[in-house]
Amino acid sequence: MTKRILIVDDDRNIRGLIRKVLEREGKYEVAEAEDGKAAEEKLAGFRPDLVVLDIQMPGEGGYETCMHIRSLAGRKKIKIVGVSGVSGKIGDAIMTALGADYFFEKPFNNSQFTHKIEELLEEVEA
Amino acid sequence: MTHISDFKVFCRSLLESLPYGVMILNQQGLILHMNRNMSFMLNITEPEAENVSFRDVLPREISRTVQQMVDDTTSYGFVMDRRISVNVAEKAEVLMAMSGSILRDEEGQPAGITLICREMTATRELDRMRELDKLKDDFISSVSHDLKNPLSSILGFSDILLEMAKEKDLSEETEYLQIIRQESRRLSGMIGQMLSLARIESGMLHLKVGKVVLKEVVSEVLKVLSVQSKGKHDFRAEMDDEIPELWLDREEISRVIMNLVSNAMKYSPEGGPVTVRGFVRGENVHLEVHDKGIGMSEETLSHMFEKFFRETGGEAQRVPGTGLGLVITKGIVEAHGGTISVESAVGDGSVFSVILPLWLRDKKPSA
Repeated sequence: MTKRILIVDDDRNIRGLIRKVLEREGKYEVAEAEDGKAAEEKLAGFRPDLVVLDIQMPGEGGYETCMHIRSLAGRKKIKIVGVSGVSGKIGDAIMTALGADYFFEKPFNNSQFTHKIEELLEEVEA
Repeated sequence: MTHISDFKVFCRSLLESLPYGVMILNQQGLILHMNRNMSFMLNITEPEAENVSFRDVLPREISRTVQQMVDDTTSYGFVMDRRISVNVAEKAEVLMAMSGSILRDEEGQPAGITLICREMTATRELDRMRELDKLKDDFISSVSHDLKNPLSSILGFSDILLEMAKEKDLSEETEYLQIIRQESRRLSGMIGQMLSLARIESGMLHLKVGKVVLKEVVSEVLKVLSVQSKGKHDFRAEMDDEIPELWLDREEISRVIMNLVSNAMKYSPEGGPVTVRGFVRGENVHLEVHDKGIGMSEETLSHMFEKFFRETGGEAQRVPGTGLGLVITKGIVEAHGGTISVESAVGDGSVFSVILPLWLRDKKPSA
């Protein structure tokens, strides 16, 4: 079954980049949201297996969205990958505390990124 | 040493030695004593202005201020650091802080007023510098964050384009894209450096400590750098086996060694040996990076760990860099409770020594 990935980032170019990087893998269905609120609205319809989540966004930021996703009851566990310009260590610590599965500091390496996504989605299957 | 037997002489000498202006008035406003600093600060030319009223000696404007000080000190018992500015003839305005307290006689009755004056120009300048420094730090971190998004797009898309160009065998395009990618990585590295520095300076460098075998970190770093050096330099690691595992931030310590060894490479443009030596001495673990490169003058050495310092003139000027690497290196070492120093001579290479306390074997650094 094709895995679904939701990209949440307020920067259109970053969304485009992540979409392109993932689509080149040729095995994912990808959707985008430009902020936390839009992401929450898309959750029910799109039912992503994994969410790529920017931390610093205007309005509802990544931390809130992360907590929201984790608070949803009765769903299979959605994988969350944080991405941000904040220092790796700080971002990692906060996102992990909020229940994210992994964190990438921007700018990240494309192949490391896709590799990690693949690894996390394999866990979903298992 | 001559003894000061006369108490009066002692008092006078004491007042003269203070780095403040001191003026003692009796209740009628007669000047009982005024030290030289005070006459200088208030711009009084009369050498022995004693037993005269301050109203007759001081310039009108200052006299009014002193009167106010006397009145307020009498009413409230003391006045603390009142800011006053004095226009010293032909000199710029001088900012001062004046304090007043009541002088009492043997029975504890008010006998006069002591006024103490200190110059604030230096303090004010320092405050302003601190403010500017903070502004600069805020600026650096917010700008660096804002730079990361566009840079991510450039790096990410040039990676994709590069793959596409390679697939289609476009050699010229591939070459240009490689340049774009290489230069954006360089930019990304510089932004990273500025952010690290801002974190170090604001005390926000968070160490993620674990038990680290230094020997392993050194050999990893040398492996990476020997690829970059393309055989030009001769890397050697002489790490004593008695160095225990230490509580360190592996990533940060790796950055320290990386910075020092790549500096050693950069400043040995002709190639040559670069040796990393590690050993235990007394209560410390020493980690030294030796090179046989161009070395540094004493003048350069004294500025080595200053922000944005770059050696001007000579061979060193041709080496690219931001002048932040060593500042960051020092910050990281100090966050671990260690110290860093350097010895060098022009034409005779350099030795950078990192000293880490041996207690890191049992205890995590507090930073």
